[in-house]
Amino acid sequence: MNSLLAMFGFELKRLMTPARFFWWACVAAFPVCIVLLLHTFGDFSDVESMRRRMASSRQIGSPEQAILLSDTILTIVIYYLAPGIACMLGALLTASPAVASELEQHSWIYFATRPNGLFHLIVGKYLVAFVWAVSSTLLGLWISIAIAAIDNKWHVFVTLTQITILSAMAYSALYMMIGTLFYRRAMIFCVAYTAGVELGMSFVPAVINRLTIQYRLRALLFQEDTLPRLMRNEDGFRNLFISDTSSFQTVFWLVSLTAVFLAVALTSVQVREFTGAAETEST
Amino acid sequence: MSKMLLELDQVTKLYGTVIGVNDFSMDLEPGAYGLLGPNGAGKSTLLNLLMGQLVPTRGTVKVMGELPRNNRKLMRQLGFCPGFEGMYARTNAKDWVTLCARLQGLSKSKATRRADECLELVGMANDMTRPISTYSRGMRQRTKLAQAIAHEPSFLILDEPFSGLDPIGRAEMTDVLRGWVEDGKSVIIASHVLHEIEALTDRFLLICGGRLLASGTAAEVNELLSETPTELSVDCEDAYRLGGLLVQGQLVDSMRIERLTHRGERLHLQTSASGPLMGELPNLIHQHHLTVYQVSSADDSLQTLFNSLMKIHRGEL
Repeated sequence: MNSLLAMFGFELKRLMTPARFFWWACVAAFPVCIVLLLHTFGDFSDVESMRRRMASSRQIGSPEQAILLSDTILTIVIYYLAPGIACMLGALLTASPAVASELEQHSWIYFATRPNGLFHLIVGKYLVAFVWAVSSTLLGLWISIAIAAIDNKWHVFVTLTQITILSAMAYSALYMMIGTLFYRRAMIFCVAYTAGVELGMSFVPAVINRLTIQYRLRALLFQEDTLPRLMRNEDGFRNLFISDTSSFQTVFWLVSLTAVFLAVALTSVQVREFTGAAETEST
Repeated sequence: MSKMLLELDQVTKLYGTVIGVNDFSMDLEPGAYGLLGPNGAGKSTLLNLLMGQLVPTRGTVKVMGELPRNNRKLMRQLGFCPGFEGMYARTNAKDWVTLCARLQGLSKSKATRRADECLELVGMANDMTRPISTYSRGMRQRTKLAQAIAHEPSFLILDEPFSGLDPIGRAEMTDVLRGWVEDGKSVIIASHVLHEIEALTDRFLLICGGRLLASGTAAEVNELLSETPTELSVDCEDAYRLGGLLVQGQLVDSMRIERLTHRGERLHLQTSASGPLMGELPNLIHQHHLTVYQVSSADDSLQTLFNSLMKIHRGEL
């Protein structure tokens, strides 16, 4: 534990640079800027307008339903902006180059020649990526909720904070694993995986989308009963957003995926030889 | 724990079709050793095999009786100073050495204290709070040595520790390592500069092309070379006449004459009969009234051994 704390503290200190802080602030600012634009130019706070539009689309809308729909739409928007995209981006920027950067600057050997050194390196970097992603996303999330025209802010705050923590936990582990397996092109593989699986496959209305982190996070969001009944009964929505599993099972799924990703990353660094011929013959 | 420091049994390491280490076998008792060889000889590959960073394609490597790959217990007893730098530029030497010591399991307070002690020992006390990016090459070498010894290992493996050091730095580094050797701890120092090793130990391993050419003390290797030709240089006034006499007496295998700029000529001789040549040369000089300024041989130097072994290895002798 002493070694792990040392690694975590050292890596966290290394992240405290103006450039890194700039990116941290950008990730935090991303959802805030979008919500500000919606708040300024959108009409989510205009219940009467919402009610009229619901009525014109043949849905009988009362003011309460209009508020519920407005809250739901804004919650979904903030979910996608914060734990959905910002958190994913934060984890990607921090976790994916973890192994490649150590190999490129030849610092790998200093960790590899310590007792359990690579375990401490990978887990330490994972924890730093988690802290980095979760802190920037939560800041952006909380400001976004504060400025958004949501009626039940506390409920949304609690739900999305929990989802953000789970999102940072799972995505940091995912990108750490990809960065370890494909360290030569870590960022490219991470972006390709994200686009193909997390943003593509997770929206396929079939069983395969249940293997993605995005689906599990969405399921958690809609298990909180924020979706109006009309939308809930739609088959398309059911396939995309609503899981038959309980919240506990969904969290268990995410924790299990995280454990598997980290186990694969740790096994990979223990089994593979990262000291190449070109490096070893550098003298 | 085995009494042997190293046990290598027919170790071969291939990088695809490139041979890093080739059928390498040796047993070494604890002590100080120089690992000598030209660039690309396989020194760093061998050190990485010893540190468990590489897995032999064939054969087995044991360090202090243990297989080194992913061996936590063994890593606590090893200190490694790699040939390349690899330290974080923005951090400082104190933080870096403290981190390395903590990764060896030392508590925060003990790691900090050991970092201070070791950095002072290697002459970095005044600069240890500056960023590593501001260090000279020599200062980085000292920092690397400090991180290798901070956890008080019993076996130190150093890859080109003198690289980039100025003469004063080399002398200071030699003193530190000499103290280490005198404490009875084991060390292997890889280098391609022979005199760096000679100052620390007379036991060496000579490798080239991934093969062990020779091992032992300089005297032991000299014995191996008793049948191999010896090189000699004679600075004199009439090199052609002296050369003729030596050929006539069948005392040399080959010779070459070089005209010197200031006085006379230099006769480069190569002989398989160094004993008879040394006995007859003074007589020939005296009998034929030859003027000889200097007779020199580098036989006592490791460089001569190295050159001869390399020639044998290449099939030139």
